[in-house]
Amino acid sequence: MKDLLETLARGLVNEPSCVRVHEHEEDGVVYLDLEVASADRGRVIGRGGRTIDALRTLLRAVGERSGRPCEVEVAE
Amino acid sequence: MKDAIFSGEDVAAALAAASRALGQPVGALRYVVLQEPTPGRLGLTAQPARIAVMMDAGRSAGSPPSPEPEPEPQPDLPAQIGALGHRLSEATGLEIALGVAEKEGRLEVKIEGAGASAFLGDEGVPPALEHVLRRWAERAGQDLAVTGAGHRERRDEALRVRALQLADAVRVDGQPRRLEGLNSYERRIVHVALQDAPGIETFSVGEGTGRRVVIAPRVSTIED
Repeated sequence: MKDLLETLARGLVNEPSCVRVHEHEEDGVVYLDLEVASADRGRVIGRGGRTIDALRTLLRAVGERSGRPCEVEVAE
Repeated sequence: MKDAIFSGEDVAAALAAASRALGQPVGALRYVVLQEPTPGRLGLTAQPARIAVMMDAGRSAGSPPSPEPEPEPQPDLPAQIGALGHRLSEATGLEIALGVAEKEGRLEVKIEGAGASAFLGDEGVPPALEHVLRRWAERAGQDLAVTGAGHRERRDEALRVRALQLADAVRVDGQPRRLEGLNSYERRIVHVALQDAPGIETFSVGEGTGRRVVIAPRVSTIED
């Protein structure tokens, strides 16, 4: 899931080399913290949060299929 | 980072207002257009242009601007989409592939493989995937649609039904309706669905990502 989120995010940003995903698991839930260049934060969040919502929808769907619930946050 | 919102008669006027307020030259501002200006027409209220100026944390208005870095080169879009198909397949354990074809100047991404239906079964997934891929395509200056497992067909039909329902509402109260952001393919579906609708006309207003379809009473009907 970490690799999938990195792939999705790299296509959205101007600086794909700055994309990092930090993964940790807590109480059976996989938390993915997405880190991008500060100038790219708006691109991964999107207007009205639509892009980050879409990323969350995709990762949750994948998580459900693999039996590992997943949450995505954009790192500050 | 926080955004500051400015408006004006057009985008240039909104930028000029931002430049004055922030004490920075227009060329140094990093901004996104929230809304293109739209002219008042057939009872619609004219809307000003609105922009959000992005301000980096730690950089106050009036301090020297740091230019946004040049975008790094990306692999070509079809190759990126193909690689995403592999990632999806790996992550879900389903047989999924993303096929890309260019049709009438637009990229069509087809979700293929025995696992496509299972993956697209969650109704939120197809629009989410399409949203992300469209943002990818925008960066490459291309239009894009996602098809596969009946997703596009269902979505097109839902748009046709909605256009007809809105046309009914326009006939009842005479008030034009403006649809949310649709791409050129979707705008065409609305225009075609209503091209023979009695007493109704459709047209598009705005430019770029702010372009919207308006469903309005046909002018001759008003004059009658």
